[in-house]
Amino acid sequence: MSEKRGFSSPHEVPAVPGTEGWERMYPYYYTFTTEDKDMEEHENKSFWYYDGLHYPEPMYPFDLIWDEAWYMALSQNNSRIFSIPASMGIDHRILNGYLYIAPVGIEDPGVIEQRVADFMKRAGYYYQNWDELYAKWKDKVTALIKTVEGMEIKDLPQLEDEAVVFEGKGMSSGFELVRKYNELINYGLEAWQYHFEFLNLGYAAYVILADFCKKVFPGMDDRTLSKMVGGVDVILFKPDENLRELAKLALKLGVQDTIKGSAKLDDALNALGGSENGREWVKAFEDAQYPWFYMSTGTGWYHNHWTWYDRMEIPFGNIKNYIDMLEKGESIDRPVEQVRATKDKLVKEYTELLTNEDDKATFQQLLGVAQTCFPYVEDHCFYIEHWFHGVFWNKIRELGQIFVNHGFFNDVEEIWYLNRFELQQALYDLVTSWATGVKPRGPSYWQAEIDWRKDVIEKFRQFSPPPALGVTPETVTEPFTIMLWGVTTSSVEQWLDASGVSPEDMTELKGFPASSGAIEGIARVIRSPEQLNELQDGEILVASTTSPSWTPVFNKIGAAITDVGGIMSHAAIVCREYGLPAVVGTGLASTVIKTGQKLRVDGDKGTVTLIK
Amino acid sequence: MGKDSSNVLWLHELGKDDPMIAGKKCCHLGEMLQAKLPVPPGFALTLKAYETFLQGSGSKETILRILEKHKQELLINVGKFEEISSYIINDVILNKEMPGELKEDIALYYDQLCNTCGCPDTPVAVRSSGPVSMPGQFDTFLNVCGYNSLLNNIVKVWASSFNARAMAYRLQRGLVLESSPIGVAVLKMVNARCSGVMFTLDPVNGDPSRIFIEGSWGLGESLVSGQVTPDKFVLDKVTFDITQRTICNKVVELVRGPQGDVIARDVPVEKQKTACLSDEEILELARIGKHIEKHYGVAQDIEWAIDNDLSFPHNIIILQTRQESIWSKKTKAPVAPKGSATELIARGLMQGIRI
Repeated sequence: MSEKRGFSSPHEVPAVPGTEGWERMYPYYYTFTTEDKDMEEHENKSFWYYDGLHYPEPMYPFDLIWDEAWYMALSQNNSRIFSIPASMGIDHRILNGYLYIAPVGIEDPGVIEQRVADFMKRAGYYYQNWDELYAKWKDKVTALIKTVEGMEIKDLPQLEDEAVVFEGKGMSSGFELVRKYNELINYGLEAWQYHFEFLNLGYAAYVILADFCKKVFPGMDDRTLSKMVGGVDVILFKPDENLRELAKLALKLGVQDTIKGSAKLDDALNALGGSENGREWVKAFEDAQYPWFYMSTGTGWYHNHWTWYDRMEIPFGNIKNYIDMLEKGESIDRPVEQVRATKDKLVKEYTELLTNEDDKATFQQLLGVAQTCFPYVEDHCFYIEHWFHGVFWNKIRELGQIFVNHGFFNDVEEIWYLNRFELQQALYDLVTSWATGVKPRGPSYWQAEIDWRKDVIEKFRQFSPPPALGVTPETVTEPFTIMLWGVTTSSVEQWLDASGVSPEDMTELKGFPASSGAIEGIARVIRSPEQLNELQDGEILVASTTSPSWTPVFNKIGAAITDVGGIMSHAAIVCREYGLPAVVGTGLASTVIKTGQKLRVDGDKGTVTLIK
Repeated sequence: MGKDSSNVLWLHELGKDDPMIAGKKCCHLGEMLQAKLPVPPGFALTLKAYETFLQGSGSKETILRILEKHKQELLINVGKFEEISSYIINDVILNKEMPGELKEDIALYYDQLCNTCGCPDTPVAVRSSGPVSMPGQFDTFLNVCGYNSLLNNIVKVWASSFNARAMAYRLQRGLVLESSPIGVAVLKMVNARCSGVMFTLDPVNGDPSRIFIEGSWGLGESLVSGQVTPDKFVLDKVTFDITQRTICNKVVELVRGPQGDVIARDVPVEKQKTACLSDEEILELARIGKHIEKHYGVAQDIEWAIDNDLSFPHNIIILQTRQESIWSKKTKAPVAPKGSATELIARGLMQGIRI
């Protein structure tokens, strides 16, 4: 770019009327500041983009925990652990309830050079021992999750059990509860330490392969590359595969009518209990659940992204759908053999296209390492975002119930309006009140604050966060920024171009062509997973981001469009798998497009046309 | 008679080692026929036929004399080529009678071609075929109907080896000035619904994973001479996905006029912004392109047409193919020096990705 163009300064965006003072809901270091002049200058010089990929909704104070977790974890793996040559971490801020992030680069060539040696040694060790280290990872993460599953969060007794005295324990349930809360928070942060143990390196391998391919095959699209790299047996599809197997088993055992005839899962389970075959199916149904029903109905990043365990009617409904399809003679199997054959053919023929032997060797090296890394890239989110989070949110709800019991909250779900530090204070307030017998300050203090915060979060929903703030850099060296969020020249240009046009005047949006096909249809803008049931058959799903676990709606929709996301966003991967046209990373689709708008989506060109 | 001593040969008698017999285009066509590629039927006039004509008609001697006389002048004054060239072509070559043996040979082959095509005076294309690649230097004539017109046009192709551009080229490179034997391909004229070019790489950036097709309504000349902005289709050579599709406003097409000549005609409005190829045809063309590239072992620049008289897939006709002249001849430097995966990634991360 000959001339640097910029977005609005992060300090110039006004507050949403009626939300003034919102900053206190979040830790102080999340606020853009004009009081610290050095920091103000850093913020003004940085390139901030809205992380709608993970945060399509305003931040609930407690849910910020995962952002805090990766604020540190992702950054440290770049900066301090693997010594990614030209990249430190990713900085975080909140503006009007929405999360903005900025990659922090290293510009001094001498420093970069120094970091390379450490990178070679450290990253080299992981790349070479990947499978072995990943097997260890699965063990330690599974052990961590099981520890959290086993934690008991109990309300405080009127009088401590005699055992405290006769076993000489010397500590109270109040202290135990405080300790458990701290442990729970630490386990959460620990899970996210592991989340990034491999991810930076996995993305780095993919990004460098993609960059190489752009040079030798300028016309190759990202979908082709991801087919060459992507795994065939992806864990994320396993929960859904279990449901397909259950549908087949239902037909085999002849219990399909009982299942289809039951409006609710409990009715079905009762009815099935009356026959031998029915009991066999119920047994299989129970066996298929753990841990797969920790599949989130969203991305798992928000407390209201319920798992299948929390919403058993969802997997039950899917089983019924699959039974219907089987009865109509349709195949419900994933075309695994075909996916594998396509992958092999692409790898073979693309390799043959390279006539220069050095290029061929480089391609094979990079492809090999990317393929090694990819199972982790595709599978880690089941372990952390789905399984761990699913367990974690409900442990916090158990704590929430104790607060309700003690008059702090009217409802368990109010706990999300306190951030993790505030919750620690509130809990201490609760246990000291329990200990002293004096009424706690919390109920009067928090109820008014929670009511105000509920109102603020609702007002935040009316705010459309600009896609970016600050100044665009000339190069991005931070692997996640490129791969996950799809921050590229074209997306940044598009955001800049659009910043001068009012939404009503826009007729076309550009994004990444994520999945082939073109279709016209009616838009349905979805802002939270609860709205998913509003989708009508054939409508085009428009969302800030979509989640692979929105499986049921993929059977219904005609196409998907997202604001945020690159070639490897969860949305892109799953749309390809389901053969739906998809355009991702449009920056503005959910702002510009209104429900009911007629659209043309071209998944080959990456364009969305608004038909007036 | 052996191939070396013939004036005329069927295309299928020629193979890839025969450029010195009938020029590159003819032997490519022969090779394509042998590889079972859909090229139009036809025959070739050999380099020997060119010599037979120049010698037998007495032109050679005259040309030699003229050039001897003006050689020094030509060396210092390039502008002089226009005048000399025009004189040689019009006053020396074009008014000469073709030697009898040559006329008989041509009559024999043309009759048989007309029989094959089931049409007397079958319209043919008369194309130059140089022994080395000099794209666009020599003339090509289309829609030539009947024996006499064929003879005239063959002579015109030969005469084009004395156009100013070709002579200046030869002089610059120290080649023989007074003779530049070229072959001539005589091919059944395709009744083209549309036509165009195909590259088995992306001509813009050399990407070997693409197949690049351009086409417009009617005969191919409008494309080559840039009168029309063609439709453009880009495919992935491995998956055959059509990755790019640009439909242009094609207002003019070249068609065969009542006298068999080529005339420009307005394209009916409803066809102007319609793709000139169906997806089925695009895919079949690409398949043929990939096959041709594999056959020659190097990227190709292919001219094709869709014949109105035939049905899919026989309507796809390959008019000519040659090695792509820019990217495929470059020795490509490696994009990055070799290294272990970790080294490659480290280097990549040092540089960053430009946005």
